[in-house]
Amino acid sequence: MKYLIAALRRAEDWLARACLAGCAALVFVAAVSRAFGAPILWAIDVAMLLFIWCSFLGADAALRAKQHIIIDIVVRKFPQPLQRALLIAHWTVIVLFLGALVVLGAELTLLNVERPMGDTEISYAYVTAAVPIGALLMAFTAIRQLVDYWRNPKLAFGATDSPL
Amino acid sequence: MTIVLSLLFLALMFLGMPVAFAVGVASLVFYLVNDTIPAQIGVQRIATSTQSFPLLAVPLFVLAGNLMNSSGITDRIIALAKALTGWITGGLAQVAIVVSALMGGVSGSAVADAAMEARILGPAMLRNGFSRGFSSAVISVGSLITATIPPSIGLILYGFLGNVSIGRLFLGGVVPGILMTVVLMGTTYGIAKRRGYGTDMSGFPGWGELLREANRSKWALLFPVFLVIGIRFGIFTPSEVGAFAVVYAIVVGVVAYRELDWKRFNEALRHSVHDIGMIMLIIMFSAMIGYVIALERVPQNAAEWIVGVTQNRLALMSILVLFILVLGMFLESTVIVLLLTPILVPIVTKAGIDPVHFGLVMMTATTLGGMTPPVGVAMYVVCGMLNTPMDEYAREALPLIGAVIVLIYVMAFFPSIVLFLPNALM
Repeated sequence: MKYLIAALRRAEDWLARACLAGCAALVFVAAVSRAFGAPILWAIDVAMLLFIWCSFLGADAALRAKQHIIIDIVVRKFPQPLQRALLIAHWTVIVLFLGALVVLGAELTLLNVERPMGDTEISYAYVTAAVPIGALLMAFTAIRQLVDYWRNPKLAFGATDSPL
Repeated sequence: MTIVLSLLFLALMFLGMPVAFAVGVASLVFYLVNDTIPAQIGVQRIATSTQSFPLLAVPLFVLAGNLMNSSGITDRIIALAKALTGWITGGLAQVAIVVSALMGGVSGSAVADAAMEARILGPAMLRNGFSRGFSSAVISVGSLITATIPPSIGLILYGFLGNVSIGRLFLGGVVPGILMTVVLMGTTYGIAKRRGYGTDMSGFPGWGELLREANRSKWALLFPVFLVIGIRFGIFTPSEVGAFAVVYAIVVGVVAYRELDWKRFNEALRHSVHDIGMIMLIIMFSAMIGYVIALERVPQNAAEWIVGVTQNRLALMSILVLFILVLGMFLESTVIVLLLTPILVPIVTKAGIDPVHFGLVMMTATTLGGMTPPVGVAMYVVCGMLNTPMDEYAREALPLIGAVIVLIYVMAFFPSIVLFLPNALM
């Protein structure tokens, strides 16, 4: 199980990097083809599709690396037990929030199956699907974080989360 | 309702919830409480906010910046900056400012530049006898130059949200960026002279040495020239230029400098994915608020209110700059751009101010917010890496921040400083 999760995480990171590299390559190809008078219309649409996936997969990667920006100047002065309570409260709210995004995003994706994306035949659902799937991946990360926090009685801001 | 929403967002943020989620949770609560708009619309906004071609410039320039770092361009720029200014009073502090200026032409992010300099130049500055506070302040405030000289991620966002030409904005950043370099170097010179900080090397290394270093960094120095030419002649849109910058960095790293291998390339991709995820999560979740703001007619109300206060252009500029500077002390820069640009651009345009002129003034003030205590990401990064206490940083950064604020007001009152280049070229 542990190995399976690690393998999935590696696949996810690899996919995020591939989306970014693909996005850059497609915009480059589209620009060159446009300059030569033979624009490839679908390239930009696919680039934007890769962009939203890269954004969500990257957001999850940043979440695992604890890189999201946190303003801890106020809370660092709080007594440690209060800091621990706040961290646990925040991450519970975040898990609930992400859960709501999964449900709402899935409903939205089903509504968009028929809708084409820009100049292509690709369904817009591939774009919106990034929201529920990205939120689901982040929810897994947040739950793991929450479990770690719960087990750590010395938990405090700064020690666990760097501002960047 | 907007007030409740803002209070909830501020409360969550200052209680230490990651900024992106504080924005997201506050907006989702709004959609759930309000029964006239279905919550799916909020989620729809998250997806549509990414489906815009101009916004693609953001990930591409982030990737290009990281690739330039891995391709050996950064080391050469630092060597050139040392030859240029290491012999002036203030030594490495002057070098740090010039590195920010030279990096400005290839990188668009103040935070990335600040992190790079804190890692590479910071320890050397401490060894040379500069105080922690002073070193951190010079690196952090100096990185504002990187965000002003094109390319600039902040200006891309402003242009995208305010429907303003990103090409003109880029050109408008050239002169203010150079002025900022001069002003910060002057301020640093004054402080260094008073405190007896020495130089990094005994004397001017000579033109031969300078030309040799310039030749070694020619690919970095040429890039902004290509950038301006590409945009000027309308050959490429900023997003396309971003893709070219990526290819350029790879070609320079592999063919010219032979330092970029598969491992470094992969590492640059990994860093970029993290940076993009961080920036984009804030942007995507803020898009939910954007709809609420438009629905509650906040822009129109704000416009009526501000126009009621003053109709004078200079007074309007002064008030807005002051407002953004104060806001910048407490909010993260990206959040300010996302919230204020759609509100302010119509107001200033109606008052007869060129949105390109306002964009440079606003973005300089907003990005400076990342360097002013108590909340500022560039400041956090540098102080975190150099172990600088915030009060020491605040004391030492004050003269530098003061100098930049004077420059912002000069830019605000003399539009031609900003508009000269875009008007001459486009």
